[in-house]
Amino acid sequence: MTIIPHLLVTTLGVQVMGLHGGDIALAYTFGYGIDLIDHPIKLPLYLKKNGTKNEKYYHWRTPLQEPVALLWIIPLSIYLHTPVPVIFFLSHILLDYMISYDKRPWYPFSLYTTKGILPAASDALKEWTTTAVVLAANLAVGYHAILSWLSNR
Amino acid sequence: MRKYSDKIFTWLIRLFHEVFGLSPNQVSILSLIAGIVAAAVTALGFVFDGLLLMALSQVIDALDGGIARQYNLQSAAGAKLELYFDRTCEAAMFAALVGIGKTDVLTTVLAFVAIILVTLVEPYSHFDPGFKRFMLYFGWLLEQLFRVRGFEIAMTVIFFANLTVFAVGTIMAEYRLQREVDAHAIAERAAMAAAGIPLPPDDPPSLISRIASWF
Repeated sequence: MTIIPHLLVTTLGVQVMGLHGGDIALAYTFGYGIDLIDHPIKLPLYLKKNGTKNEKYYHWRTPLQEPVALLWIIPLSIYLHTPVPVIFFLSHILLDYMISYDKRPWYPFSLYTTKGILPAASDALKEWTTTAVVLAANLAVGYHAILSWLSNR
Repeated sequence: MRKYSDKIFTWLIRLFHEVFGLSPNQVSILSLIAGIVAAAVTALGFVFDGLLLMALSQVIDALDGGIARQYNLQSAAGAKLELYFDRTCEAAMFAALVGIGKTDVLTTVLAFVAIILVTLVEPYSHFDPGFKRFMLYFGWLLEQLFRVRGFEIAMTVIFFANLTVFAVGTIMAEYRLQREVDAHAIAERAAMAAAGIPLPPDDPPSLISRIASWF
């Protein structure tokens, strides 16, 4: 999915879990930040194949944002004594798996590919619905914080 | 790296194979025995002696592959055996250091898990810089020089280094696959164009591709 639903879901998670300090940084790193590292890795290959032309379903993903990454994220979470990286990484891949392009969840250990969750449904519909629902949830959960921020202005 | 170690240990490789008549697998077993003895000595509290024996085990460990390469005795089973023995020696040494309280259980277990992950991905990534037992010498050095819990620091380094190597290894393997897939698609497109077959239409430009086309 695009940046907006990822940021909204991460923000909702941070609010619901009442995270502070370093945990917030971890939440945004694993909820969204991995996208910023992941996609540029494939950029040279994309440019070589397509130049500046658009290829809608190009395989931009690396194992950095596939379930196989749990093999290193779970030990990291255990070391850091916090479930935050695992939870927010799962939220990230859940959103990505709602969009129906090919994914290699367990590469290089398996060549299995999948189009993710509900591949027959429209990607745009899933993205807009998710965005609307999560935005509403953010506003509902952060209602008091927003009100107090507004009253302090 | 292996070729360099082969050159350094040429005379030892000859000694073990030509004079003692040992096969690579027998040398691997010797290395395992030395590694287990090193761990046992460490567990008894003789850390320095344990590390010396571990160094001996690692030198012998470098010889089995050298013999196999030099005398054309390489086999998949032998490589697998060496791998199992290496991990066994590491597990024994790590357990010994935990046993005498030089490092904590959690960091040590996680360091070992990270090593296993690198071992699993290495056949696909061909990338293993080897942050394993070797780091324990630095741990000992840190302990002697700065009176800190050097082995615990070494385990932390082993954990993070191997976790990073694993993550990078998965990316390297997938990047290679993608390069092949793309090369195949480019060749297919070129063949279609050469044969005069009309190419499928391009996807409509996205916002990013429109911005990129300005440059």
